[in-house]
Amino acid sequence: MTVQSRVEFASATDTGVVRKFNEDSIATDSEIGLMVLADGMGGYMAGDVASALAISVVKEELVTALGKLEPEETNDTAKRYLPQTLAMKRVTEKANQMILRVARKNSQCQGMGTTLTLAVFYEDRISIAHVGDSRLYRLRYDRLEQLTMDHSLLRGQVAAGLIDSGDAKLSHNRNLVTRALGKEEMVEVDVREEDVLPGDIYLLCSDGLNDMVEDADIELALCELKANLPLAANVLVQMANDNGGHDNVSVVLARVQAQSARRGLLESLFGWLRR
Amino acid sequence: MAKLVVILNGAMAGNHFIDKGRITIGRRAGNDIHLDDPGVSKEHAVIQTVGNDHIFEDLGSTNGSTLNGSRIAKHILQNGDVIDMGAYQLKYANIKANPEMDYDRTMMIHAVDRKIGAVPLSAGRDASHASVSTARSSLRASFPLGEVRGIKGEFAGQTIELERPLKTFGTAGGQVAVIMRRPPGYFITHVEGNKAARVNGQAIGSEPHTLQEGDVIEVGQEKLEFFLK
Repeated sequence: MTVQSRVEFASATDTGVVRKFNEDSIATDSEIGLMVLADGMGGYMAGDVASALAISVVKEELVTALGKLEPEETNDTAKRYLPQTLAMKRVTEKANQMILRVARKNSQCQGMGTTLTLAVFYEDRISIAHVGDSRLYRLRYDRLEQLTMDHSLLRGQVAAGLIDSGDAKLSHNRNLVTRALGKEEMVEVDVREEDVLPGDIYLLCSDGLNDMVEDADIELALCELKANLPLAANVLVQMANDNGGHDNVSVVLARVQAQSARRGLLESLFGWLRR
Repeated sequence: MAKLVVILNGAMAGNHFIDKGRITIGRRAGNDIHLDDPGVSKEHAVIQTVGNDHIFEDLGSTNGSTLNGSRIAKHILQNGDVIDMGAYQLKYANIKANPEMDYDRTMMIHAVDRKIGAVPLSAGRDASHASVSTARSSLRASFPLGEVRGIKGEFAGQTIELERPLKTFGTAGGQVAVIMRRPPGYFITHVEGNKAARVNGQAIGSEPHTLQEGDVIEVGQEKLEFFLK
C-alpha cells in the first residue's frame, strides 16, 4: 500500500470579492501524491497564464521525472535530499524557463510571473518545493504550523528586526515577493522534507487566505471540519471573502488517513499473535 | 509620493517629500528635517523607506516622540499619522498607505543585494493597501452575537457563546454539524454522518441553513436552542 492511496485531497478557489480575474491555479494528482498551487502576477492580464503554465509543467514533467529518477548526483545538495525532492526542484526550474520563453514570444505576457508551491507525498515522507509567498501549513495534533518561509520583503524585514512580527499587519509590503518564477533565468527553489504522520492535514494556500484570515481562525476551521475536507476547503475560502476578499483565494487540502501502511503491518502482526 | 507636513502651533511650517531611503529629523541644522525647538533632540528620529513602508524610529531622544498621545520607539507610518516632537508635529500623508483602500496586486521586486533598505519596484503599478484588522473588526462588530443553550446532552443547562467564526456540535464519527458565524448572521451546515442534523424537527439538508432566534437544533446526542444576544 503506497502513501498516495492514503492521502485524500480537496480544494477550492475563488476570484474573491474585489478582483475581476482569478490568477491563481491549483491542481492535485492522486497517482503521484501531488498538490500544487501557483499565484500569478504581472503582465497585461497574464498572471493567470503564468500560473497555469507553471501548474501544467509541474503536472506533466513530474510524472515523467518521478518515473525515472536520475542517478544520484554527488554534490552536497544531492546527498541531503531524496531523489524525489531533487526532481521537484528541477521541475520548478523547468517551469521558470517555460514562463520566460512564453513571455519573450508574446508581448502581452511580458513581465508575467507566479509563485509556485508544491508538495509530494512519498511513503512516509512529504517533499516540499517553493518559490514566493504561497504557503504550506500542517495541522498536527490540532496545532497549525507553517512549513514554508515566505519569500517576501515583509518576512525579510521581520527577520532583520526592522519590524516586530506584531506590527507586520501595519506594513504595506505584504504583497511584495522577493522570489518568483518568470523573473530571472535562474530561480532559487527552497526544498524541505518532513515526516508524515497519520491524521496530519496539509494546507496549501495563496496569500488571499493568510492575508485575510488569521492563523488562529485557519487552525480552528481545520480542527473543527477535518472530518469533511471539501467543506473545510470551501469554508476557508468563504472566511477570506467574509473578511473582505481583497485577493484571489485558493486552498488545497490533503489529509493523511489515520491507517498508515506501517501501522497496518503492525496491526496485522498483532492480529496474527492474538489468534 | 509620500510627504511629511511640518506643523508648528497649529500652522503649516513646511513640506518634505520622502524621496530618499533615510530621512533624519532633529534640532541640529544638518538634519533633512530641521526642527528648531528645545524639546527636540539634536538627532531626534529617522524615517527609513523599506519597499512601500516608511518606518519612523525615535533615536532615543530626550523628550521622546508621541503618536496619538502614546510614546513610540518604532512605527510603520500610516496615512494621516501625526507625530509630536517638542513643539512640532509631523503629519504623514501617503494615499498609498491608506487603511481604507484596497490591497494591491502581488508584485515582484528586485532584492538586488538582499540587504534591507530602499528597494526599487520592478513594476510601476500603483500600490494601495488596507489594514486587514480594521476591515475585519468592523465586519464582526456589525451583527449581534449568537449563543446556544443546552437542553439535552453534553451541554445541558449551559450557555455557549458563538464568538469564533465556527463551532461544531455532535458526535465525531457519528453525526456532526457546524454553526458558522458570518455576516450577516449564523448558519448551520452538515459536516458528517449519514443523516443531517435537525432544526425544529426538520433535517437541514446539505446546504447551509440560516439560524433564527429560538431555533431548536438536534445533532448527535445534543439538543440545543439558538439565541441572539
